Amino acid sequence: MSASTSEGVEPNLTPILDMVFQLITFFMLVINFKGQSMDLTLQLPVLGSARPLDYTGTLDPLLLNINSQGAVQSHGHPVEIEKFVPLEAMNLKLYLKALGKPVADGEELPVPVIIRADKVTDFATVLGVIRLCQAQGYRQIALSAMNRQEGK
Amino acid sequence: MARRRKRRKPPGEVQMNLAAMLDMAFQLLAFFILTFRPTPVEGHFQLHMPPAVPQTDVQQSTDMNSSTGGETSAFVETLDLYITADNRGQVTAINVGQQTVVAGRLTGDALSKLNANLRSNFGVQESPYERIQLHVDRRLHYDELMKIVDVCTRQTLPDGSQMRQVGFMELGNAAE
Repeated sequence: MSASTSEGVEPNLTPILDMVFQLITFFMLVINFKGQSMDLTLQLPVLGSARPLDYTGTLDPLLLNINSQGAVQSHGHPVEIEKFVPLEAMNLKLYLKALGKPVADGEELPVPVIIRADKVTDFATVLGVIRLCQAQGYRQIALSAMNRQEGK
Repeated sequence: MARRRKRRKPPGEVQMNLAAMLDMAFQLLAFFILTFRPTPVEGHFQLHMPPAVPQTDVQQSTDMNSSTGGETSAFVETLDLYITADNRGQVTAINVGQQTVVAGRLTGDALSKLNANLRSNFGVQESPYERIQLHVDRRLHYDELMKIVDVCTRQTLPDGSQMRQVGFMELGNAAE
């Protein structure tokens, strides 16, 4: 900004600054870090009766994205599912033990698994992931679907 | 129009230069606008799976109309659905027990028929079933599977609770 002369007009920047701060506040409030764990390239099936996840626990659910080729991704990174799920289960058990709520082998883990699979993923792949989760003690499985077609 | 005269500031008044702050605020705003991605509206079908069972028990249960695999299902009556698919991953037939309910593509009518059949099994007060076991062709696409899961989870048990005990199993001869 140029320095005002004795005849120059100095704009009042306060209202624009107010407005910009309000916009920043809006975007800060709606920013969703959970979205980073989702693979947004997947095309989920569309079913109107799908409901929001009924889970009130404090621990984050285990979210697994399965693409049409059967590759599994978690938190934006491809994972080797045979190693990843047992590792996550082991970490969860250690964490629960540290909290004083140990879970014995074979007992149900109190955290759901959210499976987001592409609509053309074959059943064998999805079943393989579910079986692996079951074997580690995850028994609450949530299968994701879109409530409505994107862009509609 | 009269020329505006600049007001003389009283001595000692400090005027803040807001331009720098505005620059920074615009940069922050640009960052948030560029990184903004609205989360898609997603729902879930929540299922409560039984504990994992060894494969030998699974094989045994596929031959029977009422499966008995696993710790939970040993005490729970299970309704078995057999779903076959073609190479394109589309449903070709759905059998409830030994009765063919859907033959051909999974259209709206077919889903209604399946729903009516399941309702006739679960809607009655003395329904013995508490769990649904889906025996699914390995080639079936996930969206077709979800339509069937949707119909299954719409069923209510005699106690008024929603059906959540849905198990999955691969059809033995699907690869052929």
